[in-house]
Amino acid sequence: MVALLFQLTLSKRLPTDVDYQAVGDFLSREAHPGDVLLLHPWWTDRARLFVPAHLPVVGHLGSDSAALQTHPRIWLLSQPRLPRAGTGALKKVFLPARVPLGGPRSFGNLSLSLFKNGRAQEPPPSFRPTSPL
Amino acid sequence: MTRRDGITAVVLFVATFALMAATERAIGIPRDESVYFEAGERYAAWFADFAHRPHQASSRQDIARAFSYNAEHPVLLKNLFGLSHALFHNALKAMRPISAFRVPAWLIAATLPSLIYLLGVWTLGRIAGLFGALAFFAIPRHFFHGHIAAFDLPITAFWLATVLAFLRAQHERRWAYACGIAFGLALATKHNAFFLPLVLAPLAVARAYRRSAPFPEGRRALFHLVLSLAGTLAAWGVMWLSQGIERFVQSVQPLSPPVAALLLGVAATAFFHQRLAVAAPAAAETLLPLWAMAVIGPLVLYVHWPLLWHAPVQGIAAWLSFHARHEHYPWMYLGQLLREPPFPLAYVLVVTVLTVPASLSLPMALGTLAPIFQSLRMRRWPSFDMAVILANAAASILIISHPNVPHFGGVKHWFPSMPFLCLLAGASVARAIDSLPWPRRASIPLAFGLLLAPAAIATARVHPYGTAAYSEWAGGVPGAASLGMQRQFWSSHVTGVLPWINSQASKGARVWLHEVTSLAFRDYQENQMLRSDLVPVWSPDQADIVAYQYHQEFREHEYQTWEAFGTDRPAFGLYVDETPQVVVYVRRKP
Repeated sequence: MVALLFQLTLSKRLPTDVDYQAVGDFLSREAHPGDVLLLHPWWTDRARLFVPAHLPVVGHLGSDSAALQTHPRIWLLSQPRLPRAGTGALKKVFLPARVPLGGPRSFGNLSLSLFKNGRAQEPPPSFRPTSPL
Repeated sequence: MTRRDGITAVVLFVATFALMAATERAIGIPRDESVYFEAGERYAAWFADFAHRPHQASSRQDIARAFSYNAEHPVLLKNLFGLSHALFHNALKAMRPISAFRVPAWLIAATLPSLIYLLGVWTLGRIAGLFGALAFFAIPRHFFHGHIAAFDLPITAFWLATVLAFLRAQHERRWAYACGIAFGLALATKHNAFFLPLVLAPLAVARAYRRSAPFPEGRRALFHLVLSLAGTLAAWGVMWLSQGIERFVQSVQPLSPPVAALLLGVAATAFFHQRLAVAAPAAAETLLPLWAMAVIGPLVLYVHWPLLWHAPVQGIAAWLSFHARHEHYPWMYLGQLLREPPFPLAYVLVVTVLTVPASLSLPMALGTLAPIFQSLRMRRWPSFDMAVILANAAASILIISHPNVPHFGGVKHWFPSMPFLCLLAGASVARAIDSLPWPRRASIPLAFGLLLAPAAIATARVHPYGTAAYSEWAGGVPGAASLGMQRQFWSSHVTGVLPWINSQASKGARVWLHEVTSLAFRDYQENQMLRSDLVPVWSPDQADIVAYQYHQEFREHEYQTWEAFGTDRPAFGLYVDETPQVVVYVRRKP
């Protein structure tokens, strides 16, 4: 019965293109230069199809604990209803030195939260990629 | 077995074949399959040549020219694929090339439910057999592999057929011949077959030992017989180890120590078997299927594989030596990228649990453990039939579990265990049905429906991307991605993005279908699945379009694509239950 329930409800736990499009539109308006989008779980790469091109996207094995030190603000795009979403494990490695800036926003099964990145570091002036040579 | 059982077996066969044929079109060409298509065509051309000038075609040079391609596997299946293609596509124009190659694979796959059912009827009961038969192709990965022109389900079918005939031969002598033929077909399919005698021989000898108990003379003959066999094997083992494989193979000549040891061993075995047959006929009959396997099996292997006609020992040695030294491909397992041995001991068990639907793996576990615990509790061996089924359910899983055996290929390498596990699942379901207070007419459909429906839904959900399937224990495909399991293999999921590439690519665009072989690229074009003007290239630097197959070990290919194309944003992708499988990038226009 549990297996049957799992199979019958799995589709309802997944985001749709409409959800992703809404996230993309929202980030087009709200993301600042220097922001980054972190994917959780790390493999939820479909977001790349929808988010604005100017916003860097990070999602790779181990990226939950990445310092993302060149980004003062982090948008966390998560899918808490996915099986084995691992939200608890994420909190342990992601939250230290990060401060939420407002509550999470829901877009269907997607959840988007903004954090101030306490692990960000100003790069030394000589290493700024925008510095004139 | 009743007439009704025969009809049920035929219905299962026909229904499975029809299902395979009806659902095959969407399944892509796995890497290995593209090689088998090519081999099949080459071998079929040799058969055409053989029909016209048999003497010349049988020469060492002509055979080597045709059969040296993909010589690491015997040729039974590839012959059938090639001949089927020649008949259904070239001659009759009744099918597209891919489907024509695959027909023999569907036919052999379709025998599996029938064989499981018949094994159930003859051993654990009709309900067990029927449930096992239906369960087998309700497992998503089995359903996927049933479609393709490869060897993994055919070896499973021939393994099962050998065991079925072995068990029947304990009751009717003529089945011993069927056992030998089925074993020969298994040998002619894949090297897994070499393990079959290792599973069946100890069981047959143990049964013969028990049956010879009242006859001291017979027991003595059996002891000498086993000693003769063991002595022959030991002599070969010593010569092999002392000289090394290559020198040993070269030393096998008509007048040589290995052949002398073999002939001596055969003569001694035949002599003691004769004595056993006189002193304890029932014990001798138990061993008959083994002798049939020993004689007919190698004969079928030799006759069917022209490459062996001129140098049988060298050919077999080269074949086995390839697999003994098979390279290890990287493979994701619980967040680790496995690259080389030793592999985790629990790998096979864990992957089986994570890929077989929970509603089937649980009855499998119960069906396997119940007779073992019952035997332990009652302090007696399980019945012979049950011992054979349990041994075969465990054999392939245990062999592949060895930490030094290559672990790539998903679950296909231990498929020969699965029909027996399905049957054991059926036995536990039958026991559960008997314990229910309702009449069987109501409880059978209810139990079958509740247990098979989740698996069937999972199969339909993931089709045609069966190598991505994971069970409810894993959390389905997305749960397995979070667990860090292998996302896919064999490159067949690329079919999910071909229609998009066909509609969006500019004329003559250079396309890198990552992990897709050049043969498969050609086949997709020949089968009108990919536009014929598109040009295959082999790196992002050369490409206008990249279809990247998402594998953890290949992530650098995706990063190279980002760098070459100046963007990390895909244009399209195949996402199965949210997991990226094939991601398409398009080069920005300058």
